[in-house]
Amino acid sequence: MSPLDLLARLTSPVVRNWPVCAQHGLAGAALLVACVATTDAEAQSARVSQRRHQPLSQHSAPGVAARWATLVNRKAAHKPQPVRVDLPDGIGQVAFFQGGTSEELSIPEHNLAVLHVGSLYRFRISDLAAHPGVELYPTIELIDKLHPPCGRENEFPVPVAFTSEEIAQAVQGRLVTKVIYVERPDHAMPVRGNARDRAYLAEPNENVLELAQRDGRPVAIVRLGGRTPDLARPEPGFYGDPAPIAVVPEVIGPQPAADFPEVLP
Amino acid sequence: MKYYLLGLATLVAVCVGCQSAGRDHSAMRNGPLGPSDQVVAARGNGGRAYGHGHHRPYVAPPAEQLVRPGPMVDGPGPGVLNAIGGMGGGYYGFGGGTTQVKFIEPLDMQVGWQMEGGFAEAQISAPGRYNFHQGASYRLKLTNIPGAGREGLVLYPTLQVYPSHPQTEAFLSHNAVPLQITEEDLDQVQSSNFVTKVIYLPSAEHQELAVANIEQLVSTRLDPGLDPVAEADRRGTILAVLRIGNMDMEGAAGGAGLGIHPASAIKTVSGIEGDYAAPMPIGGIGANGHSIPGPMMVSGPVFPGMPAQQPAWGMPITGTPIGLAGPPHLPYGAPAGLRSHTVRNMSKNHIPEPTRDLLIDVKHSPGINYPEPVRHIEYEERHPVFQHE
Repeated sequence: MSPLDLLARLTSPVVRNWPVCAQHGLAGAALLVACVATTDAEAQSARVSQRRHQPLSQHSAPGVAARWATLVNRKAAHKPQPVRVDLPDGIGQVAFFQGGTSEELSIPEHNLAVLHVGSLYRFRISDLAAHPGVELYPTIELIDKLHPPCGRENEFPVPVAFTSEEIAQAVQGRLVTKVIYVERPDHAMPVRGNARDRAYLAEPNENVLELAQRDGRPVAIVRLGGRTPDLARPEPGFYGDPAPIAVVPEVIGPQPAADFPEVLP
Repeated sequence: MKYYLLGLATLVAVCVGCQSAGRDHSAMRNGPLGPSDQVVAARGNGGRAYGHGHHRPYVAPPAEQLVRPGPMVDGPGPGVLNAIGGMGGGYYGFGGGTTQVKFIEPLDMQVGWQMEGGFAEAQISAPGRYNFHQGASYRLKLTNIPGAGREGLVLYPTLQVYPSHPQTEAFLSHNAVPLQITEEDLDQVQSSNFVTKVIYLPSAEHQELAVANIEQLVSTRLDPGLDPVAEADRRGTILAVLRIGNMDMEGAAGGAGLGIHPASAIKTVSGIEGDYAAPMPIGGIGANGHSIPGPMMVSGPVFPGMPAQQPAWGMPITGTPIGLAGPPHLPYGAPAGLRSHTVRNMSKNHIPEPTRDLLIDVKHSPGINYPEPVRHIEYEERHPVFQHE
């Protein structure tokens, strides 16, 4: 059966009464539409499958993403980057473990911890207002750095903000993994706000690192859980990499005027 | 005439189709960028093996294979590279190779364990935590279990701590594994039932939230015939398995767990008196544990009944005066004078020749499918433009 015969069977009797040349024209047009539709479907499937392959995810072992970043981005490898830890209600103590040992380095209020890209750090948060008696030991690994104006590095720390809900989930035994990224300027919402307000929750089957790369440039991975160190029996490796760390005072840059609009025009 | 029209239509359709496919493969964008689009897209060879515009979804190798991508990586011998991300606090040893187990309930229950030559009692009290080395099984001793009808009840469950996996390494280094023995579990055990609790980290398709949390399966709540270990392994990655029965391991004839020992050789350590001892592994993770063999083939931990100080794999066991395999220099202390040292094996052995050609067919499903290498990159930025009124 030829395509023309098939078309003649599928069409109404009105079409069958058309002149032969008109039926041939209709058959050609139908074939053309079918071919275009097929090629569009193929192009759609090709577009969907052109996503970049991301071998790392939030399930990767701690420190692997940072170590791979030092191999890929050698300009940022082992460079210092200030980090500010924001606790719920601004109340609590933050102390980093330095040198991969249990030796603590307390971070006073309005101070920053200067970490190095490519290393894994463990720190302790305690004396939380909404969670009395709770001590948590999250980790942070820097996989990239910011690029502020020279000499103003301490004005632009990487904000690590924990919410009360995240701390409650960690106490319940869940693992909270946060990827902090720099927004793409053409996708960023032109509103002011802190990192805590602009966090969003990913779906269970989504790769958080891939989402962050889609929306910008990942800078740090923070993991918050409920495991505590065993003080009686030393745990090698629990306190992170033997990487340097420093404490510097936070510098507040020039503030916008009071009548500065909340939403940019 | 009709064949002319048909041929013309086919030619136009092919031209339009090729142009459309070519536009998508080069990722040229004339319109505004959507929020889910990639600014930088790669153009490969266009799925040469699967037809124009057709290729299978990209599939990465397993995580374990990514850590050790090929030969001469992370194995025994000189000139071998470290595993990717395996140095320092990477894949190995960030959590110290331990799993922190948190005994939650019943409250005030005393947890001890088997040590060398006896039991260490009341080492921790619930709620309490302990870091168990991974890849081993431990015999616990539970005492002071509260509840009516539980007076004097002593249980000897086994705790099988699974080795960490790339999918569980992040969780285990940040979280403790909660272990909860409920009233229902205790009732089942006292009714001479065997209870198996499997604690596992569910895979993404079995999780309700993106915030990872573990789940557990109990044999008494599953349908008859279902293996909780196999079921948990299907749903995710197993972290620990607790098996509870009512066997008395310290009863008559020296106890079933310790064998027959002289009374002087049996040691007892009690945490109530301030004495503490580390737990002793009573076994490793077998083939059912899906353990990943270590990169270095060395002698494993010494368990009861095993000869101690087994040599590592590949090391010579023939002792010589200089510590290396070879002919001894006799007499000791004199200059080397031995010219010949021959050992003849006169045994009647029949050792077949090795197989000359061996064919092994392996198949991954789905197979590894990487994107084609990038050969063309087009980068386009669009910046917001603000106009003054």
